[in-house]
Amino acid sequence: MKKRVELAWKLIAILLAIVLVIPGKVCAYNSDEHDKFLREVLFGNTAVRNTDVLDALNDASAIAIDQHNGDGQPTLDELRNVYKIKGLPSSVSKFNVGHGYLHRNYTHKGWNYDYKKNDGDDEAHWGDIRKDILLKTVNQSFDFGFLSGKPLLGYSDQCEGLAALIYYVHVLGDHVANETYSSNYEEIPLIKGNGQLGLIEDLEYYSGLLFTDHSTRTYKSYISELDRIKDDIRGIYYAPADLEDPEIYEQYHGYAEEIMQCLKDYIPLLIKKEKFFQKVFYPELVGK
Amino acid sequence: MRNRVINKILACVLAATIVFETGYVCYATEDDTTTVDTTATSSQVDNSIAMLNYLTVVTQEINASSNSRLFLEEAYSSLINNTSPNAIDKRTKTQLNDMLDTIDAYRMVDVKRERLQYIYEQNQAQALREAVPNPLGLLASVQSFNLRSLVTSIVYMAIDSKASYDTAMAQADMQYLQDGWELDDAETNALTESREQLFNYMIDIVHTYNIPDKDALSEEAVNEFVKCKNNTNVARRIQFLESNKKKYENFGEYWLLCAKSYYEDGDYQSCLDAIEKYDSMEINIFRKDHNYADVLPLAIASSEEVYGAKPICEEKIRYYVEQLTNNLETEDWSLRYFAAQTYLELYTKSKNKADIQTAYKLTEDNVNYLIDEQNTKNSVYLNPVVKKDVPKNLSSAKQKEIKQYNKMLEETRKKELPPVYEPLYLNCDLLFALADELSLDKSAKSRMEKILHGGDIPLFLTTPLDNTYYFTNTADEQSYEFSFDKGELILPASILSDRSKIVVSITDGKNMTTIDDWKIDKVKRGTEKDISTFKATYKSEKAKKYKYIEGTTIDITVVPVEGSSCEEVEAQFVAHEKKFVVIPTIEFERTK
Repeated sequence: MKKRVELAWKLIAILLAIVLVIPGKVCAYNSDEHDKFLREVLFGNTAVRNTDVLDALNDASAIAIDQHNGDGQPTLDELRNVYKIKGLPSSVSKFNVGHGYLHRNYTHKGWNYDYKKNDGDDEAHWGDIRKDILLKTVNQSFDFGFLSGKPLLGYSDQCEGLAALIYYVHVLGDHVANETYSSNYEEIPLIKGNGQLGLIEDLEYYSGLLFTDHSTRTYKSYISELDRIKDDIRGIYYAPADLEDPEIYEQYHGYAEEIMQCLKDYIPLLIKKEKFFQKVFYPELVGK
Repeated sequence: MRNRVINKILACVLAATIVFETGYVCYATEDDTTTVDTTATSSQVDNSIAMLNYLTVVTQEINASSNSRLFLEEAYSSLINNTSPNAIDKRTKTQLNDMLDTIDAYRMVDVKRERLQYIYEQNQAQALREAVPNPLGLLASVQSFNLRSLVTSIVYMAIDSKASYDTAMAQADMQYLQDGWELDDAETNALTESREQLFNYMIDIVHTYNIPDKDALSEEAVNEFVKCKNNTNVARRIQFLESNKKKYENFGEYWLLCAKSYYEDGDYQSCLDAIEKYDSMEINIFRKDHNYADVLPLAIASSEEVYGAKPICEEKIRYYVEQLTNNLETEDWSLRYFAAQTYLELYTKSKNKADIQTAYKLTEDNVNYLIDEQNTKNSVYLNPVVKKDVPKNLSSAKQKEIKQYNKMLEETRKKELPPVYEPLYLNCDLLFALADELSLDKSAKSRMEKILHGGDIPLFLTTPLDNTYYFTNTADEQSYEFSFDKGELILPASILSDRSKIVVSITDGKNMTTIDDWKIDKVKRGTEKDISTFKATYKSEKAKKYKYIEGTTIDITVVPVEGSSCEEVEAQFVAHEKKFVVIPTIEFERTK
């Protein structure tokens, strides 16, 4: 009897080890939900006509932002071999990060967060590899002009704007998923507060790069709505410690949902008017 | 023992890791379309559906119109000026803003739009004048004048029909203005795409707020409705409307279309019933309900037909004209003119002077508004041509439009005569006629004269027309410098307008010949801003070929503004034979 119990525990240990060791599609969080958020933000209720490009963006987002503990190789291979994205690392081992569910602390702190400078080390290679995976995928999926992505020239504003938007939709999705507060998570906060970076501030900045016409009613209304949410959050949040109060956190979490709804309401209307996006998803709208 | 403990600890740690890894922070629900509560009220939801139905129909109407850009202008103007932003919820407002942005991108350049609007209004004012030549014709109860005469010019003059812009006066303009009236394929597709976006959004809120399906129009229903609306066969249109009542009865525009169609068919009772039905719906998406205001003249005319001399006729007309004035913006001069005429009609029934006073007040409001346009036109005329800049950020099509417009300005300036804004002088005629009818006191007359003539330049640059609109004209009779030489007549521009008519009668003994083929050849501008130095040259082939002899009398009559009540200007010349060495010549001497 004792031996059987001992054997059972050993089997459980082995089984669990197998599950952890075998790499699968990146899923620190439910990637289907992230994909759904991105689809809704980019397209609203409209059917997606070029699913390959959307799938490539989803893959790049998952790899760049959520890869950890050695997983994600099939996804990386799919990006390279199926969606023909060039210049990608050959293996996830080049940028792998461990730390299980705390992987977010190495990739979710902001599009321009300098992990080396601020945290002493860029363990997940956010700055030199992961960001570039997303930028390359965006750049090669759309036409941003001949010079975008060329060595020393960097990526065009719209390419960077879209890549940053995709990044923040993912991070915002994690904020929405965090129904209770945990001090372990160090995602970029919804607003700057007393910190360096804030999600809404960055969204506003990169939206300014992504959308060319800032004079339209829709764009002004979008920024105005983000400003409104930002001001509301300022009323309850200054620093992470504020979120330890469950009531405060409940409101904070509600604002994360509002930002997501704001993106779902406005982004499909705005992005549909951009030429680079029309060429891929709405060719009948491309004028002379 | 130690191994057992280690295995247990290991298993627990690994189990905990997996739980945290995959389960703890995973988003449990499948439903990602959960919308954040917008705190939309029940009336906002109803209004949002009404607005979405309206938008989907309007965008389909734009696409279905053969001169889609003209229709688009009207739609944009209606949406931007008229929608009540707080009547609908925030998310619907987002959709509305997006539609406005889409439409805005396809509008004409402003100068072309303004010029076309001016021509449309000129035509409309002329049509109103032709319908009721005597502004107080209704008071005279002359059978040929009734409110129905005015209805066609107000309700049925289509904004997107070329016929509404045909005018002998604007032929030169039309060469430059008539391009680009149709949206191109990409623009049409963009509107279609926006419309589909609206339908998807509408499905979303129908589900979110559990709205009955029949309240929100489907894409097919919208397409069929617009097709019906464009059907020129009124019997077929009515057939469709009656057969599909259940589908559209919660859609306000349906009842307005019914009203128009029944009126066209001469079924005035059904027209009234349809308008009453629309009334009962309490549509709240507009600040001023323009579409309703457009149809109210039909209600007023129908009431006359249905109720005749019965007391209820006055009651109905009074109700509808109040509804009309409540839904007018300042710039709705033609509907306000109709309202003024309606009050004259009411006076014939009530014999109450207050009705004439109301008519006067409405006309005064029109005049006050329309003066600005005349002043602007005058200022542009007196000054050198100012070309519009061509911004580099515009599309090549719009840049071309502006360049064409600038070319048109230069061409028309060569023969340009002083402008007369028809809507203003139509309303001035009515105003002065009403002032007489009311026997206005001195102070009221003085106030009106200050409104009309208080600017730095005359109200009308055409002096005889300007002189018409004084209650007490103390100006001395002016003599104008004329020059006549066979086929050429030179006149001061200050007695002319783009609606002038020149008739010359040539008398030789007992024979009289009328020469009326005078055409403007050029306008020579002496000193800019001083119209007294502008001279217009007219030429006539018939006059040129005429065989003048000694004593031939040439009587010249200039009608400064054809159809107006302003005084004509006359002159007379006599031909004298002269010999230059041996060559006989004819010279003309002015005798009157």
